[in-house]
Amino acid sequence: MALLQIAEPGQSAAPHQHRLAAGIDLGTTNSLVATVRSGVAETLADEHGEHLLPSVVRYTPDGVVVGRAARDAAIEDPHNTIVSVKRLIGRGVEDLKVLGDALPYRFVDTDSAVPRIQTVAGPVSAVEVSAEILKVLARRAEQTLGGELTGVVITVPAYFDDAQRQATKDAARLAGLHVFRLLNEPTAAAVAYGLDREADGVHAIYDLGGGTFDISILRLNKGVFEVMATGGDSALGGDDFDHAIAEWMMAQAGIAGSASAGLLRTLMQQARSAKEALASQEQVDIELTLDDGGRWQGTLDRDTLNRLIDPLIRKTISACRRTLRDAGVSVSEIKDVVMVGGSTRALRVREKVGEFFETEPLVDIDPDRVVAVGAALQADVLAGNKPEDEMLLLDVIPLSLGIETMGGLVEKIIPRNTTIPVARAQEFTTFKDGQTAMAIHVVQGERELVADNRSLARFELRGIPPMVAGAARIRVTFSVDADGLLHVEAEELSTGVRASVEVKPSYGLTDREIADMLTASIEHAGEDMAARRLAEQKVEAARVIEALEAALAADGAQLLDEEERQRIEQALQALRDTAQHSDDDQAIKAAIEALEKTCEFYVERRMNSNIRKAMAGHKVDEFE
Amino acid sequence: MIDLGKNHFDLFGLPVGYVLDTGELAARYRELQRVVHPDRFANASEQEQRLALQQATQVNEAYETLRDPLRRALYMLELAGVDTHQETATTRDTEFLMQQMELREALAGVRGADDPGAELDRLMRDIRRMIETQVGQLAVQLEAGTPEQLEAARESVSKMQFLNKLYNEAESIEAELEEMI
Repeated sequence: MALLQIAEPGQSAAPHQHRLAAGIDLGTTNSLVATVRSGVAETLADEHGEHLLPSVVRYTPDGVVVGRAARDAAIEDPHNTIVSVKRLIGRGVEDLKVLGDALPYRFVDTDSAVPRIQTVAGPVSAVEVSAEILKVLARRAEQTLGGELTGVVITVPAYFDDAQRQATKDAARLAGLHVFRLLNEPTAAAVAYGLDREADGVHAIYDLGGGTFDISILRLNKGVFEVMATGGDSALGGDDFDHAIAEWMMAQAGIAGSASAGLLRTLMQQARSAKEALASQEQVDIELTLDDGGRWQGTLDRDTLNRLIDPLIRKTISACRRTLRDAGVSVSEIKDVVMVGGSTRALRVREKVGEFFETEPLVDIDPDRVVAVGAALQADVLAGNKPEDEMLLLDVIPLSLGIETMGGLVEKIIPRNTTIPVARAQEFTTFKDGQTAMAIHVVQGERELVADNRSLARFELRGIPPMVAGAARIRVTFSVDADGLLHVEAEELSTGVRASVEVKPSYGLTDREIADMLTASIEHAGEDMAARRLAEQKVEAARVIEALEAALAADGAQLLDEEERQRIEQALQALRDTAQHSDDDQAIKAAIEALEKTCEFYVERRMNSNIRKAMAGHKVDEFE
Repeated sequence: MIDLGKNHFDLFGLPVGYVLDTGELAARYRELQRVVHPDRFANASEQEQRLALQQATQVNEAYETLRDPLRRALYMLELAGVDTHQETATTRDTEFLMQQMELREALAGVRGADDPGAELDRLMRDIRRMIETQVGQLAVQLEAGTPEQLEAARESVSKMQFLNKLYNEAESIEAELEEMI
């Protein structure tokens, strides 16, 4: 943690503890958890020695099954077994139509904007399904490490929009995890490679997973990873290779468009194994039992496979070209290209990517594990276990953010590839005399028409005093935090009337829905909600106390006078007493807040002092 | 209150001036982010996280403003109290406007050229050179800082906005041509 960094050895009141943290790669096909032990980041295996957890969740009358056993049941129980849930997370009912009819689930009609799948255990949303996967991974980490996790870093495709990020964070919350940071998958991969190699320069990360494609161009400079541009397609991946192969099989077998849900699953699995087999052999024989009991036999060779998947690979190369232009670099400036994601095992992908970037792609870290490894390294840094570490990640927003203006057009407020955190404001005005309210529609995407972009949220600024058209001055401020999540605020400047929104509703679960799910899951687990809240506040209190003690030890003497110091020490003691003796989580919470309020000036002073220190050397050069 | 210096230049410990070493600016930017970025406060109190978020946001804003020649010029004009709002931002330089029209027509004709790629390359090089000319003039005008020179700088900024827009259009045509390969 930052405050510990500048504590002198021996001065820190609290002994430096190693905080347990993990990196989680929540993948479309498989998920992994990794952690740093004795300075080495490694993925963790389950009790059978398996590192990859298939991202498959099966709901049965007796409970939830996650992983391999669930995947094995996918064919016999397609309606209750959710695969590739990442394709659904943060998506609305309308999106599902675009994703195709190939989904074998039965969706429930609800009032909620979030689609729910009917299972034997009742309707479930993608957020809940993802939470089940996260729980299994977190449990694996806690069992391996022998303690509770302080926090996790969860990776998301760089191209995930705001709704998808928010939904991922919601899933973590539902799984009872503290999220240090959502980290973009390509950036995580770069971390995994960069720290090994000390390779300053511009790198391309080509990440083709099961359901998503990302390309990122980033510059590494003395431990600072600066993403220059990112692009991709959040609905293109290796699953599409499988689809193309499955469709070829259906055409060959003469069953196009008439297969049962079970046969579709079989086709997809066959397609998948055929694709994997062709990574090491020239051709593969396929056998299939059809719905009518008949059999089909065929042979798929590499040339045919290449013909099937080349159009998909071409789409990824186009995205690479666009992203290079956004980054303002040419192919010749790219030092190397890192391959991430299981789908980059396909030889044709490596060949085409190597051709485009004019360099042999890097594949030395297992493409399935590299993202989790990078996430673990970042989690370790964020947990404060490597205070001397100089690594810093500066990421960007992948898609432009804007609002709807007259005529269904989009006015961009933050362009894509802007480094986060960022805040930008734009002024708008009323278009009718006496207009007292203004509807604000927040959209994300690159197209000019609202209809072609993704709708993130709608909200209203009310209480604008009646004025002639064009007289009101409404400032809309977009802020994007370090997780890439958006917050929007609108203010009428002459009156100060405000409205703000955590961008969430359009496709996300409401806070209320999450709270209900959380309560239900805790009740289900037989936990005591009150005990849990108390424990959480005690942990929080301990964290605040420890941080403040370290800060006082480091620079209290320089930055505080005697009276100020006493005031802070008193509030600190009050929190220590409350945290130790009280059984009331609200009382502890209040004591934490009181302490933070007392310390506000000190925290600001410390931050200013840090900035001055960072620039101090330079100012001397310049002005003395 | 968080004190981030009197202006963007001050934040980076740089003297106010249009000509600056972008490599040095980038290095100082990274040093500042190392200190203020929210990742440095993942374990700190919510209060510190909030402050870190504000600071990192401002450092990003300052960096984006200073590293881009157009935004840097606009910012310096703003510091000098010159109104740069778009309604007033025009140029009366008819020769320049003629040139713009010709370039625009040339761009529109690129798709039908014998060798569209080469023709586009040539146009983009021309536009880049014209942008560089404006950057050179801005350096002189903003350095002088007299009311006449600031007015001239405002006009240079308008021209640069024209040119940037043109260049962006050229880039979209470039993208279009590449997709056809």
